[in-house]
Amino acid sequence: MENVVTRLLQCRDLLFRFGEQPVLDGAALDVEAGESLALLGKSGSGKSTLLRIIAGLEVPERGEVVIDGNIATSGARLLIPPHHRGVAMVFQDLALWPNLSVAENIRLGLSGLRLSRRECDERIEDVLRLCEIDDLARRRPASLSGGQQQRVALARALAMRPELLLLDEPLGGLDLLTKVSVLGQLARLRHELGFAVVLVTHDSVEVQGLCDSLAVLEGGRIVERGRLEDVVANPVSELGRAFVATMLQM
Amino acid sequence: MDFAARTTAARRRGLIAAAILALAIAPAIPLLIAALRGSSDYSLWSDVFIKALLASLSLATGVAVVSLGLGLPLGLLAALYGPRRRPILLVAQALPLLLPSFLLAIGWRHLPAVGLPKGLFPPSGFGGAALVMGLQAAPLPLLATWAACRNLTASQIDAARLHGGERIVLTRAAMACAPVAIVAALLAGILSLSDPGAAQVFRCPSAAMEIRTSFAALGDRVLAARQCLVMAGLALLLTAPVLLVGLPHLAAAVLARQTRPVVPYRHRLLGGAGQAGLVALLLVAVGLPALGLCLPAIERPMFARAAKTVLDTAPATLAYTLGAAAVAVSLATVLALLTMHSLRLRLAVLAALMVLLALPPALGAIGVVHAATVAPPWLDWLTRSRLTVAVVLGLRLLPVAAVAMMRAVGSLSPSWSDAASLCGVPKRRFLYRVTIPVLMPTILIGLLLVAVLAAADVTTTQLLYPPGRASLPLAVLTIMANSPEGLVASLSLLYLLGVVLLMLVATMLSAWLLRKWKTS
Repeated sequence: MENVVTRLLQCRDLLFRFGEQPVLDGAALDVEAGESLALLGKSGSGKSTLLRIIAGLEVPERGEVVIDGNIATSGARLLIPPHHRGVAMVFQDLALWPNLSVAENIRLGLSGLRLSRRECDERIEDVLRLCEIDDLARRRPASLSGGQQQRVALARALAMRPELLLLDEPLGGLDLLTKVSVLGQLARLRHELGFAVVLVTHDSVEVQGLCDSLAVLEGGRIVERGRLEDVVANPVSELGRAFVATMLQM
Repeated sequence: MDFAARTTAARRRGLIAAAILALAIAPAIPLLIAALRGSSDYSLWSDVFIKALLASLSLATGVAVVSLGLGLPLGLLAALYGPRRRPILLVAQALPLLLPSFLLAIGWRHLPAVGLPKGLFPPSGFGGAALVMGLQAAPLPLLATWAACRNLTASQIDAARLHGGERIVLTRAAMACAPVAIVAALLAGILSLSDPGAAQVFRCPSAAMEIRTSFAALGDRVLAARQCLVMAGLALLLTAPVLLVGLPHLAAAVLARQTRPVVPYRHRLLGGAGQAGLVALLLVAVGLPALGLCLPAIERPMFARAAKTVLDTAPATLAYTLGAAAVAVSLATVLALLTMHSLRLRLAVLAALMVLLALPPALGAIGVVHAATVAPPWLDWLTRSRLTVAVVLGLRLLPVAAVAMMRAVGSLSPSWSDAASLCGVPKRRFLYRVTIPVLMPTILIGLLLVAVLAAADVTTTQLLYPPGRASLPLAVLTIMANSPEGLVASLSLLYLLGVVLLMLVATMLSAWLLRKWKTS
């Protein structure tokens, strides 16, 4: 019982279909507070859908999502709306609002929290400093480099002070050096702020740079789940073996 | 939002979209009632009307053929080999579409004064009308082909290039874009059925002119209503199969968003041919008639009198055009936002919009005239005022604005609103802070397009304008027969310059907005 309470996220028996095709079928996933989990899976295996269900952007046909001990989604019913779940997400295309400056992007992102103007300003200042982009506050997204845009998306997500950060392949388009730099910053922020991470990725550099555990989604359910070193030592699934082989070759 | 709530919201969006489309067709309902219940002194199927109907059909075919023959190849060349930046030449191709056909026809009629061969000029009768209207309509398949070609991925084109060079690229691209170009050309032909302008100037009989004669000269509104319904039926009959076959292609070309579109390839010969073709089309479609308008205006300048007419008609012209633009663009924005979540709804709305566009403009206008005759006097502000003209024009041009807005809304990333709901940004706030500002360049272009097209739609204005409140194009059309050539030419020239100026301002303003986001 105690174990259930300390878990930050529990997904149970999720069923989600696109048309007639089941994408998730009995998927179950637990994430501990402060954990950093890499979620692997083939293209179209439902990784992003699982993240969207956790965030409350999609509803499953069946199953439950429990966040911090509270049932957030039960079957097709959304019991806690996305912005009250303590969850933030960085999207694959970053989803920065192009007509707003960096500071305005973060400010609009905070508008659901009903903070005073002063509190808003303080949070924006803090998060810009934390993400080392305080000099970009007045710039618009299109005038920033890929790495800078990643940091802005991250800053907007962290300004919400989430307990769980969902990352949907946000580093895919970056070169290796920028990717390593952003990963280093993410790892530092995670240690400073203590949030948990679920990272959807195909990239072993990202897994090694950020994650301490790993799960594999295959055939609509989680087929492998464990600490990173355990999975590397003894991969069970086909994808897990292929991933470990790639990692060891590096 | 859970599953049941989403289903309810989707139904609600569908219902509101249907209500807006119903509103667009509402002005025609009194006409339907009048045509069915009223009695007329004349036979509907008179020889004159049947001949005019056949002539209109032939004219529509001619317009479709001419516009397709010019639009498809030039659209392909522009998309595949056009200039990568500053596509001002492509934007300028829209100019003929924004001008009333009678204005271009007047210009053509004046061309012999320049000393061009007499056998060819002035164009007259059926040939003249088909040439002028075909040239005017050519940008429709041209721009549709360009949009369809831009929806091919860059890698598809690169693969074709690697396999067999430019010949294969052109063949494959032509095969991919032809359905869209054909649909656009057929729509251009169908639209020409309702345009009496050029046909009137070249003295070519047309059904649209017959409707106007029945309404204005014979004063038989029931006959005009019935003729109008016959035209609407014909337009529907022709549009239905076109949409049935071509709607998915048209939707893909008009509404789809290609994340890695074709980048024009540097090819000296084909690039040069494309540019030369676009310049030539613009020169022939607009330049020559403009020259025809200039000469009498220079030889017998009457700009002072023309300027007075412009000033006299300016309040009415502005009220009609700006009112129509506001009505059309605001309804179009709502329609586009309602349909953004559902592909099926988007297709259904697009089909309905194409049908609405193909209907004769007189349909709504005569309907409102009928309603005005039976409505109580306290409703005059709604049925016999400048507002009436603006609203009917706005509803008539809703399809143009809606297609532009639907395309713009299609380019919004779905993850923007996902990010907003995850952050708990109130929907209304997100709409005002992000959605509307991002759509602003298209809203500006849409306002300009509708305003200019509303000015060019003399049929609706002529049937509905309150006494003494004629718009500028209507004033030109009215004085055309019995005023000095110099005055008609001076007025036409001023109108042409105004349209060009408006186009430039709107293009520069929207380009400035986009640049501001990218560079600041």
